[in-house]
Amino acid sequence: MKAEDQALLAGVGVSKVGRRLDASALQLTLDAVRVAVADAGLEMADIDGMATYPGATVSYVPGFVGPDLYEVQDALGLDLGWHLGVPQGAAQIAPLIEAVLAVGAGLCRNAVVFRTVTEASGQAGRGRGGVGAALAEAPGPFAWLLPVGALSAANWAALSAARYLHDTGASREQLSWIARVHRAHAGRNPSAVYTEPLSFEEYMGARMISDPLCLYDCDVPVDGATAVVVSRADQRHDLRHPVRIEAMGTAIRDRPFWDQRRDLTTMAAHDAAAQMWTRTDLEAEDVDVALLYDGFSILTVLWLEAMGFCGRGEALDFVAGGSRVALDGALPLNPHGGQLSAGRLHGWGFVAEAIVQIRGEGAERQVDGASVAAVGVGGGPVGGAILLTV
Amino acid sequence: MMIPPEITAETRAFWEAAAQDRFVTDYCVVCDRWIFPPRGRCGRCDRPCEVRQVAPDAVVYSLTVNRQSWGPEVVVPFGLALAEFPAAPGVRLLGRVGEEHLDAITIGSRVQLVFLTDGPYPVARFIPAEGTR
Repeated sequence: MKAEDQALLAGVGVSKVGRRLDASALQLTLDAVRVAVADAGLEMADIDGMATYPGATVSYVPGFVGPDLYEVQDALGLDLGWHLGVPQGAAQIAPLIEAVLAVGAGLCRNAVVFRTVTEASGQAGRGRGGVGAALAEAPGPFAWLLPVGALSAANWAALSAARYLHDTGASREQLSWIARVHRAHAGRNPSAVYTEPLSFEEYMGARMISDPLCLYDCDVPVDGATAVVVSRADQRHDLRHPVRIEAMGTAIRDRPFWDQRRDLTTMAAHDAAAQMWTRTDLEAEDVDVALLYDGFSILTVLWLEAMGFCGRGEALDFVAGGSRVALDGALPLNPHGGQLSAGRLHGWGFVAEAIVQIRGEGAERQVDGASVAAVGVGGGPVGGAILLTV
Repeated sequence: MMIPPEITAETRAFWEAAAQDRFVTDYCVVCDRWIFPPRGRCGRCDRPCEVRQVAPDAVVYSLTVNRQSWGPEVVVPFGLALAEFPAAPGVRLLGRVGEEHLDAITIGSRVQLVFLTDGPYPVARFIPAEGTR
């Protein structure tokens, strides 16, 4: 039996999400965890595993690192058979994938996994800051980026975007469809940050951040927490409405840096997604809804190709006009509006939305008959992929 | 906002050479391969690397113009180019492109690497191949 079959995603919880909330990272986390545990149909005392991304580590951006794992454990008064805070791995869903393995290995029965950001409050009323502003020196791979002046992931992603547009001959006009489609979807999501339609003219007239990426190609920092309960599959009958994990992908098979991957029109996403497809009999055409990371619009473009929904270099033709990736299209994309419009829950909004869609709880934005959801999280040198089913 | 590099045992030679406007990195004489960033030893044969100078002639792999000021004292716009060095296959370095050269440099352009050495640490900069300092 593969590891995926030994665990279920039993519950999901999202705290209040907003541009600036009067709540600490710990309080937001406790809110999300309590909702997720109740959603699973479990009691808090049933939780015997806990994991998070990134855990207590260097904070490159104010509000990036959520609460200390142990403070959350202590605040909830939990006895844990397994625990993990992980800043390096298969993107921000690494602790979710690890929880599946831990549950399968018998180290715990019900693990709650969370990701909490307070990056909107972290801006403290100023503009979006660079990476590492609080650091005295740029360590490791950052030594080749930050000192040169590439202070934001926007710069790193822009280098991929520029090469992609160069190689494919595509334009900003075509790239605009990612932001416009996500905004249209967010209009049906009452908890999204931006819900007003985004016109082509507004997109093209927006200020540039790092060519070819403009303001609307960059996600919107928020405060908020997401939690998911991972439970042993043998408890299926005690759980309210679990979702199956069909396959997971964690691979990284090239140089693991934003600047050094040999072909920057691919990402770790391509490796993780390819591995995911080796662990299932399902194929890309079986996917009913795609939840693909959009910290920057170009990352969604590359994830579409990484997942095999279209060929290399074809993603901007794939999304052109928006109809194919609309809620009633062949491949509905990010029904919640992604991080561009719904807010930067740093990968976990996609996981939460996949669970919502598979359960048919999407209300105004529900994709009809959604029973297979592909989730791709991360950009550049980090990528994690999971395929969820009913 | 200037963030200096953390200098390690493996990268000290790079930064010391850069301060003299020279680009050096690891080279494995056994495997005939360049290694950047420097790691001290070859990942294939595990032998210690030589530190060798890389010719400054490069070709732009990708380019962006940063227009957002990410912190205090960040003057925009400026270019950021990832360039590859034909004389050292596999080596790719990020450097700045001055505003005055943005019209002349694009993806595929031949450029030359120089290091700006008048700040707190050396900063890689690419100029047009035919250009002057």
